[in-house]
Amino acid sequence: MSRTYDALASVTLTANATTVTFSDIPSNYTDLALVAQTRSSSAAFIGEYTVNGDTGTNYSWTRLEGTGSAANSGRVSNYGAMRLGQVPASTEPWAVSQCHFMSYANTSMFKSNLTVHISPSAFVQAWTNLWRSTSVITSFTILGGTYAAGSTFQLFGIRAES
Amino acid sequence: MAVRRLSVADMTGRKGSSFVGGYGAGDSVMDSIQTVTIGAGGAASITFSSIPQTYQHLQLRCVLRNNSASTNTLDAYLRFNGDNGTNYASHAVAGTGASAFTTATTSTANPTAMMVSSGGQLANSFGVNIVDILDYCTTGKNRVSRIMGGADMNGGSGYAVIYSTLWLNTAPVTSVTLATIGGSSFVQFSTAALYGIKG
Repeated sequence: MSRTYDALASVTLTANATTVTFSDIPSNYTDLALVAQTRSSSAAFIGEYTVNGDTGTNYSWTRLEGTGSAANSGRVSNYGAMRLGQVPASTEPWAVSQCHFMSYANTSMFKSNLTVHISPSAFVQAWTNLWRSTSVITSFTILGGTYAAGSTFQLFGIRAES
Repeated sequence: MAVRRLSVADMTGRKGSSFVGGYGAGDSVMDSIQTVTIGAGGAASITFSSIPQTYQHLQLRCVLRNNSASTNTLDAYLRFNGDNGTNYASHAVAGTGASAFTTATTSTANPTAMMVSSGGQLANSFGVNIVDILDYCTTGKNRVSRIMGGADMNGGSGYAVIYSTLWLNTAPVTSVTLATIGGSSFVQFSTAALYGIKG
């Protein structure tokens, strides 16, 4: 059995940043996993990400969330990005996220993503994101607001033996 | 506007050991055991058998679509060791986009555990699922699985779901079966990949 779970890239922001991009992603894995710990440099915002530089309305998502007082769900279609989740304000605890891009290099299917996002003072969120393209994912950009210095993003490749 | 761009040059040489304490360079804590990709003929079920008993946990990562004409996302069942008896329970909390709800089944032969998109739904869209079967061969424990799953159809329908399943049996898991419901079959390109995770 070959090695399966590889750390591909890791970044810790040394300054506030409005975007973080992973590019030239190798296509010889089966799935990608992004692990992130984030906080805003000021007010809370909704973290999002786009794929392969596509900023068109080629995304959609379904959300399940718990706030502590209610369980909610939402859905949007023909949207401009995938959803990461609520990035907390600079005065709040850091949020943690796991985002799984499933079969990201399979050209026979649209690209789906499972995300679990915890913003400790506000939400537990689970997202199913869809990018309506059969293209291989070669890059993605995390955006939506200004991420505080200290935010971390780690990208892993997961390889299934055929 | 600040941009941080990582090139493939940043990615080379970054192996897992720095992220997994206690293991040396080259050690692997997660192994690919077997992968099943459905061919043009489809299949009503996927079974992994003769599972090695040398790991602590198992993980299944699946992308699934069935050939049903339904316009609804359907569930798939998860069974162990060929047990088709009413020896399972399952719970779920789900969001449809319109509402959040919860379900439970007990003493069932059909523990719902995964999201499968249907043939009547958005083309090229598959249900995606990550199944963690924890302590799968530790003696004295019933088998519990934790699942995250979902499917989005760009407005047609969508789900984000967290499941748990319980197999009321303390036997080590030696086989895992994913099965469709209602006589449908998994279609071509559906894939299930089984991994072993060391403790």
